[in-house]
Amino acid sequence: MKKCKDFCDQLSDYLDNELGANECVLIEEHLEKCAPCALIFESLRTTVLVCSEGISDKVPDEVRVRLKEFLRINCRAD
Amino acid sequence: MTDIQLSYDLDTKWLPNYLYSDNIIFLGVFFPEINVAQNRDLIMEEDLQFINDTLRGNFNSFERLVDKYQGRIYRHLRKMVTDASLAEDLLQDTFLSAYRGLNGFTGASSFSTWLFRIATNAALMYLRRERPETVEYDDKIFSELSEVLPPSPTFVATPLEILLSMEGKAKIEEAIDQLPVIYKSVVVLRDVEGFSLEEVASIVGASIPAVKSRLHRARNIVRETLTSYYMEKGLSRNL
Repeated sequence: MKKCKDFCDQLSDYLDNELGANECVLIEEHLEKCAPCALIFESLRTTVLVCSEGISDKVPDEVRVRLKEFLRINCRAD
Repeated sequence: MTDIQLSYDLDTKWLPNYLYSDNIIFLGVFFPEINVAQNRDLIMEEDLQFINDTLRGNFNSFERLVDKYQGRIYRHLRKMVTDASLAEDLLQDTFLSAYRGLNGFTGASSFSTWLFRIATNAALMYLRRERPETVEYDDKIFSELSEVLPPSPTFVATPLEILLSMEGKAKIEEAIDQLPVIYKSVVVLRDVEGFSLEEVASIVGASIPAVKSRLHRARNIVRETLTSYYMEKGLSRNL
């Protein structure tokens, strides 16, 4: 019999579609009837979502300019 | 000269499902995987065109690749080494190495995977040399030390606009920054950059089971950090 911890250990793989159909069904059934695990799943899903959205890929203008100059000098010297 | 061709199988699972959800519903949602594969195909075709043009001597095409990827590479390096000045040095090294090694790019992986591998290796080489204690991390010890935080509705009930506010984003960055490098690299590559598990494994030079294990721990550490933060802040509109 699987315990809550066993299900929680699979949630990351579940989010990544790395589990088989049977395992997915077992997890989904468990999440429907276990509020603490459902909460952990939701918070894990929210974590992954905010990580994907929350970190800027903006390069400071001065870094961008220096990179361009650096590459023009060094690549063309090759 | 023979042009590099798109020659590998497309993996339609390359991005995680939650990126296609409407941010509310996860289970049972429809995911437009075919369109994702087609978009990816177009991106790679464009990259290959730039690469082939660069190899023919058109430096402007290489600059197009730099423009396209510098933001993601810089973000990845900032997360890996934390220090902005060092990340800039590594950014320059990465693109110079890519330019010099472009002849060796076979098209067996996507250009972005290849480029992130160069950047990751550059960062890891630096860290192993200058800060070995940050790289030589014992998975087992960390696993034993981490405790599971009791679930709380506060974090998940916090509106997305607060989670992704300036303060919220700073907390996400802080939560990721506190991770050991081996965990930080996988969570950034997978959850921030959207690489598949196979691609992450290829970039960091680890097995897929190792990547999954690190990802599981990294996500849960970040989750617990954010959960604690929002429990303390009590920002939920439901409180």
